[in-house]
Amino acid sequence: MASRANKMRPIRRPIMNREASEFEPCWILLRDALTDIHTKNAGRLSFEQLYRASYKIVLRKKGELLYDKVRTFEEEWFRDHIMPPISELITNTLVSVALFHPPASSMHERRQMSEKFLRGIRDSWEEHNMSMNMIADILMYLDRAYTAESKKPSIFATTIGLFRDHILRNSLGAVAQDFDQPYIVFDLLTAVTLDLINMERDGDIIDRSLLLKITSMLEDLYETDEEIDNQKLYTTIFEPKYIDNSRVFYRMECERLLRESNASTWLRHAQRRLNEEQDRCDTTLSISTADKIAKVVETELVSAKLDEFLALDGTGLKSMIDNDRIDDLTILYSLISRVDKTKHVLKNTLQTRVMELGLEIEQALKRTDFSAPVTVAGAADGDEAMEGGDKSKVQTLSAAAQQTAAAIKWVDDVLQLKDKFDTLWSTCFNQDLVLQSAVTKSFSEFINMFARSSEYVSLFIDDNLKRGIKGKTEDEVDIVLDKAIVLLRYLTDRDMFERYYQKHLARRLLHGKSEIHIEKEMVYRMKSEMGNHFTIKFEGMFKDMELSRDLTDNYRDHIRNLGDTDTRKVDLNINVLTTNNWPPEVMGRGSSQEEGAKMECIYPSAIKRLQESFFKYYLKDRSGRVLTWVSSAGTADIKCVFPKIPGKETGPLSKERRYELNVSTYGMIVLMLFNDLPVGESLGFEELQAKTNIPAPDLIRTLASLSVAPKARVLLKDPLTKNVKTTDKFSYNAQFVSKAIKIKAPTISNLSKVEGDDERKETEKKNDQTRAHVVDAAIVRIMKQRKQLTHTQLITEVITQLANRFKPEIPLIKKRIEDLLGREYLERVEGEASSYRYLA
Amino acid sequence: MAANRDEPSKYVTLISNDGFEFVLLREATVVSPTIKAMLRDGRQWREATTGRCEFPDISGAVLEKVVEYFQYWYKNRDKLDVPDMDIPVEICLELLVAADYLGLDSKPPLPSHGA
Amino acid sequence: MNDEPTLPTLPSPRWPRESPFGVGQKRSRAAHTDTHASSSNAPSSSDAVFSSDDDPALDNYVHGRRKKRYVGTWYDQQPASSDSADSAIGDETRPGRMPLSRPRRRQFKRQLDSGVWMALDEAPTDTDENDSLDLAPAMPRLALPVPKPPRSMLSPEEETALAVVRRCVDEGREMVDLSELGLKTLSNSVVESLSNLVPIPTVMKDVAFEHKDPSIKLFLSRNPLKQFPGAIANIEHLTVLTLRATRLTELPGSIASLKNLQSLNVASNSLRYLPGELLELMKKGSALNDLQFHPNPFFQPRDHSPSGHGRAEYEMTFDVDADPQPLGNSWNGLTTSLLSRTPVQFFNSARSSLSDFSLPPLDEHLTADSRKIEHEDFWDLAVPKTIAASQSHFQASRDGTQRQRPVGATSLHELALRAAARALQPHELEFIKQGEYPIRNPDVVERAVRIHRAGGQKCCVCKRETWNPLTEWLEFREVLRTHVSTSVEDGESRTIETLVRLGNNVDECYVPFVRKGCSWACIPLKAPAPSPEVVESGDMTDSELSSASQSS
Repeated sequence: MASRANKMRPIRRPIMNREASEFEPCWILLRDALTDIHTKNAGRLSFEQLYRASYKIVLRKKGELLYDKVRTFEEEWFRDHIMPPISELITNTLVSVALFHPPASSMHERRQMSEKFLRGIRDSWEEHNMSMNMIADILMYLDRAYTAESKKPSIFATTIGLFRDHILRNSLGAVAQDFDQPYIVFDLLTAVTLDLINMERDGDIIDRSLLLKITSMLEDLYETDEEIDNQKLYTTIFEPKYIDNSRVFYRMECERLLRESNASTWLRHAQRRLNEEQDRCDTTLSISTADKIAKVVETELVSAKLDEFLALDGTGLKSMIDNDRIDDLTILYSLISRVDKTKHVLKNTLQTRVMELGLEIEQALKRTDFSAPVTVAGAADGDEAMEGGDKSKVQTLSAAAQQTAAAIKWVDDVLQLKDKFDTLWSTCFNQDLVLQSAVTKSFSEFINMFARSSEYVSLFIDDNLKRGIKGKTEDEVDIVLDKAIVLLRYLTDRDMFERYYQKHLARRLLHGKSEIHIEKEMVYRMKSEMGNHFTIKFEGMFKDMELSRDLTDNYRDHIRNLGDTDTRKVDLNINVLTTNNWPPEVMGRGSSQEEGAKMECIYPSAIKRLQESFFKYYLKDRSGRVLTWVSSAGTADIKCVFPKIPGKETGPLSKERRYELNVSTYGMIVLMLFNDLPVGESLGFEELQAKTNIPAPDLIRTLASLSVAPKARVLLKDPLTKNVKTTDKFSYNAQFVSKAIKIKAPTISNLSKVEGDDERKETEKKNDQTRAHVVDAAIVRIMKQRKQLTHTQLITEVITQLANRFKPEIPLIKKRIEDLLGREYLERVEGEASSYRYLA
Repeated sequence: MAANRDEPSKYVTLISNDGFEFVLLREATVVSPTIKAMLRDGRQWREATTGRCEFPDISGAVLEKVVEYFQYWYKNRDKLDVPDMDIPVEICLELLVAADYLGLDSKPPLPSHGA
Repeated sequence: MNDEPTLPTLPSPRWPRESPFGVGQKRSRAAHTDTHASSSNAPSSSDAVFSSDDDPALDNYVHGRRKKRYVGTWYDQQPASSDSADSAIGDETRPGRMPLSRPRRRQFKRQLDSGVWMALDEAPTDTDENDSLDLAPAMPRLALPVPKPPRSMLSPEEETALAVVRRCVDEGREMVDLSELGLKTLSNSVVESLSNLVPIPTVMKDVAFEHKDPSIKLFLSRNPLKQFPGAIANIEHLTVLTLRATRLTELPGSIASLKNLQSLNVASNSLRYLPGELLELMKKGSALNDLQFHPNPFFQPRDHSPSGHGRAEYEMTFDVDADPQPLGNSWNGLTTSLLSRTPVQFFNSARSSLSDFSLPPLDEHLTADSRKIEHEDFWDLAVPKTIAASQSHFQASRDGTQRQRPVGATSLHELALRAAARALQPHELEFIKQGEYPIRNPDVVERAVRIHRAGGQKCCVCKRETWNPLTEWLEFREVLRTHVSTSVEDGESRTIETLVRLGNNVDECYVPFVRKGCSWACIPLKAPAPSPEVVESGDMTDSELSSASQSS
C-alpha cells in the first residue's frame, strides 16, 4: 500500500525564517497596524501578514510579551484618543442637570444635552468595539495558543474592558467635585438614559436607536475581563436601576390615576403601559428585561391599587358587570390573569354579583303585580283557560294565571341573567374555567335558595312545550330545551322537579297539547343529563300513551268485526295509564279528593255499556287486571243537534244547527242528562250532583264551562251570574248559536298551572314522604353492603348516594335511621357509641 | 453561473509562496478560523476586498494539500464515518505546521442536524 | 447536493479565452514535467515533482519563483499530451468550457490532476478509477535512490531477547520467557516474529492431525521497560502476558486487541491508571479471567462517596457491544462496576490543558496525597468557556444516537500528525524536540510517536483513531471476578452468577481507567440532574456481592 512506500520517503522540513520572525520587526508591523486600525486605514492591510506576525511571535514563545505590549498600546491609545473627547462631553451643566434635575432646566434642553452625551459615548464605543474586534482577529493565534493556555482573559476581553475601566468607571472628577458622593461616568450614563426613558413615558419622542446602542454596549461589557455569563454590566448595574426607577414612576402614576381618574381609564392605561414596556424592551433596551419590567408594571400599576379601583363607584367592577362593559372587563381579565392566577378578586365579585342579581329577581317577583292585565297578557295569553273567557273569568282565574306568569318571568329573568354572565364569560373572560365554576356555583346557590324553583322550571318547560309547538322552528325549540336543561342542572331538589314535571307532562299528554317528539326529545336530554332513573316514569308515560293508541285501534277493529250496529254509536278513545307512572292528581287520587271510598260517578247507560264492552275486550288478553275509569280526565266529542226555533225565519236560529261539541268527561255526563229532559225544564245543581255523583268542585267547573263561557253556552243558568252556585238551576239553551261547527268547551281545570300555597305544602309533604322512602332505601342498601358503619360514615354515604336526586337534610336522615332501628333493620353496636349494624 | 456583483464572490483564491493559485468555494474555507476571519465581512482587510489570500509561508505543494483538505472537509462535513484523507509523508510536518497556522487542529463543530 | 461546487466564471479576462492554460502559455518548467508526465500514465497529484525534496527543482520552488496566475493544477503546464486519459481530464478541468456543451449531471469526483476537488463531467477511464487513490506510482519517478530505512539499532539486551524469541519461534515453543533480561526498551522488531509462532503439534498415533491455534505465553517481568512494546498487541494468540515490575507508566489502548488474552499481570509498575480499552477484554464471554494490577500508584478518588445518579446515562457514552460471545455452562471472567468519574480535562491541539481540572503529568512524582483526584457527578459536566463558546452546536449534538459515530472529517492536524508519527525517524524526532522546526509543541509529536509505537489510540466515544486526544478523564471502577454457572433444575435452566471483588482493602477497590476522546465533543453523556427525592441505590457494591438470576 501507499503508506509502506511513503515510509521510505524522507520528510521535508518545515522552514522558519529566523530573521523574519524576530520579535521587534513583527511587533513594529503589528503596532503600525493597530494605529491604522484605529484611524480606519485598515483597508490596505493584509490580514495574513499581521496574523503571521503574531503567529511567529507566539511560536517563539513571546506570547506574553506581545499580550502585554498590545494591552499597553491600547491603554495608551485609549488615554490619548478616546478619553479626551468624552471628557469634553461631560460638562458641569450636564452633570448637574442629569443627576440633580434643577428646576430651571427645561425638558427640551435636557433632552438635547442628554442625547448629545449619549451620542458621544455611542460613537466612541462603536469605534472602539470595531477596532478591538479587528485586533482580536489578527491576534487570533495569540488567543488560541497563549491566552487560552495561560488561562488569561482573551485579548478582546482585555481591550474591550478598557472602555469599562477608563470611561464608565472613571470618576466624574473635577467636574463633580462639589458633590458629596463620588459619582462615576456610569452613574451619569444611567441617569441620562433613565431620564430619556421617563421623557418617552411622558409622551416625548426620543432617539430609540441611540438608546438601543447604549444598552447593547452595556450588554457587551462584563464586570470583569473573565466575562462571566451573568456578569454583564447591563444585568448587574443598569437593569436594577432601571427597574427601581420604573417602580417609582409607576407607583406615582398609579396613585395619580386613583386620585384623578376612574377604573376604566386605569384599565386602559395599565394595558397601554404594559404594551409600551414590552415595546421598549424590544426596540430600546434588551428583551431580557421584558419579564422583569412587566412584573414591575403589574405590581405597581395593577396589583397595588387593584381593590381600590375595583371598588370605585360608578366605574368599578360592579358597574362594569351591570353595564356589560365588555371592553373594560376584557382588559380587566387580562390584567388580573397576569397578576393573580387564582383571579380571586374577580371571582368573588362575580359570585356576589350573581347572588345579588339572583335575589333581586326573586324580590322583583314579589313586587310585581301580575293581576294587571298588561302584565298577564304578555306571559299568559296562550293560556287555554283564558281563551274566550270574559272579564269575570279573567279575575276568577287570575290567581293561577298570575302564578304562571310569575314562573315564566322568573325563569326568563334567570335565563337572562345566565345569558348575561355567559356572554361576559365567553367574550371577556377567555372562557376561564375557574370563573365558570364560580359563577355556576353562585347560580346554583340562589336558584336553590328560591323555594319554588323546581316548580317554576317545570312550569316554564310546560309553557314552552305547549306554546312552542306552534310556529317555532326546530332550532328555536332546541334553544328553549337547552335553556331548560341548563336550569335543571342548577337544581338540587331534583325529585321535586320530577314530581312537577310528571304532573305537567301528564296533562300535556292526555290533552294532546304538545308534540310527542319534542316531549321525547326533552326527556331524552334530561336522561343524558340526570341519568336513567330520573326519567323512568316519563318514559313509562310515553309508553302508556303509545300502547293506548294501539289498544284503541284494536278495540275499534274488534267492535267493527262484532258488527255491532248501535245507532247511537260511541267512538271510544282510551288511554290506559299505569298507576305508578302517572301523577296521583291525574289518576283521580288528588289531594282535593275527599278521602274514603272513591266516588265513582254515574255514567249514562250508553257509556256504561261501552265501558263494559271495552273492559271485556281488555281482559281477553290481560286477565287479572283492574281498570279504573278516571272520569276527571278525558274529553268527549258530542254531536248535538239544535232544532229550528219556531218563529225565527231568518238568521241562524231559523235553521236546524248541528254542532260538534268537545267537552270534558264530566261535561258529557252532564249534557247527556239534558238529552232526556223535556224542553223548558231545568235541573238544579243538587239534582245534577245526585244524578251524576260528580264531586261538587268538579261539577261547578263543568257547569261553568258549559253555561258561563259564551263560546259554548249550551246550557242556560238561572240566575244569570258569572259564578256557579249550588242553588243555580240549569236548562237547555235551545237558542245556542255558534259560527264554528266544532266547538271546544273551555276546560277549567283545577290542576292549576301554579300551585297555591296550600297545594304546594301538600306537594312538599308528599315529596317529603317520598324522600323518606328513598332515604330508607338508601340506608338499607348501604348497610346491607357495608354491614357496619359509624353514624357519620353512614350519613356521608347517604348524601353521596342521593346527591343526584336531592340534598337530604341531616335531621331527615337521622329520623329515618331512628325509624329503621325501630323497625329492626338496623341495630346499634354495643360498646361503640354511634355505630350501626345491619340486621338481615 | 454569473455571480451577483454586489455580493462577495462564492469563490476565493488561495495563493502559495511560489505563486500557485487555487480557486475554491468560500464555504469550504470556513473550517479554518484564520481564513474565515481574513474574509469576514465588514472588516475590510485586503483579502476580504480582493478575495485573494496569499500565504508566503506555505508552499504550493502544501497549499495544494490544504486545499484538497478543504474540499474533502466540505464534501464530508455532515457525513458519518468519513474515511481519512491520505497525507503524503514527505510534507506531513509542513502540513502539521500549516494546520496549526490555519487553525485546522480540532475536529470542526458538529452539524446540529442529524446526518 | 444543490450547492455543488462549480468553478467560477473566469474571474478576470487577463488570459485569453481561446487559449486554455497550460497550452498557450510558456512555462519554464514545462519541459521538465513533461517528461515525467508522459512517463507515467497515472495522473496523480502527490507524485508530482514538487512533492519530493530530492528534486532539485524544489529548491527553487521553496524560494518562491513567481508565476503567472493559472487556474487548475499547478503543474498542469504540459501541453495536451497525446495520452488520451490525460488530455481528457485536462480538458474537463478547464473551467470556461464545462457547462456550455455538456449539460450532463456532473459528479463530484476527486480529480487527481488538480489540487482542487472539482466537478467532473464524466468519470475518467477505468485506469484512472483504479489508480485514483493510490499514491504509490510516485516511486519510479523519483530520480534519486530512496534510502533504505536504517535497521533499528538493537541494544545488547534486545539482541539477547531476540535470540530467545527466535529460538522459540524455531522450536515452536509457546512459552517465551524474557524476564529479567535487563531490557530497557523492547523494539517492535524483537517481538514481531512471535506473531508467526506455530506450535509443534503433538502427533499421536491414530489421531488425525488437527490444526491448533498457538497459545503464546510471554513473560517480561523485571525488565526496566518503561514503555509498552506495541508489537505485543499484534500477537494474536497471546494468552498470558506478564509485565510485572517493568516500570511501565501507561498501558496502551491497543492492548484491547489481545482478544485471546487469559491472564494479564501488570502488578508492581508505575501505572497511574489502566486503559479504558481494557474493559473490552472484560465483557461477558471474553477470555480474560485473571488480572493482576496491584500494587501500582493508581490515582484514587478524593472522596469515597459518589452518587450513582446518572450512571446508566454515563455508560451510554460508550458503544456497548450488545452481542456477547456465547457462554458455556460454566464460565469464569471479570467484570467491573462503575463508581465515579473525574471531570473532563480538555486540551488544545498543542496539548495544553484548557480546563480547570487537570491530571498531574505522568513524569511528576506523586505523593499519596497528590494521587487523590476530585470526582464529578454524572449529571455535572464542566466545559471551559472558550470551548463552549467556540462550539455552538456543542450541546445540541450530544443527545441523538448518531453521536457515537464520527461526523465529518478528521482534522488536518490530526491527519498530518499521524502521518508524521508513522514516518518520523528518531533523529528527526530529536530535531523536533530541540525546537528546530517551527512546531509549537514538540511534545505532541513525540507523544503521537509513542502512541504509534504502542499500537495506536482510539477515541473512546466515536472510536475514531486519535493520536492527539483532546479530552481525557478517569473513571473509577471496582473490578469483580465473576463466576457464572448454569444448571438445569426441573426442566428450568438456572443461571447463578457469583461476584467477588478484586483487591483487599477499600483503597484497592477504586481502580482508575482512563478515557480519551478525539474532539471536544467526545465527552461523557451528561445525565439529567437528579430530582431531590432520588434515593441512592446500593448497586451491590458494599454488601451483596452475590446475586442469582433466573433465565429459561
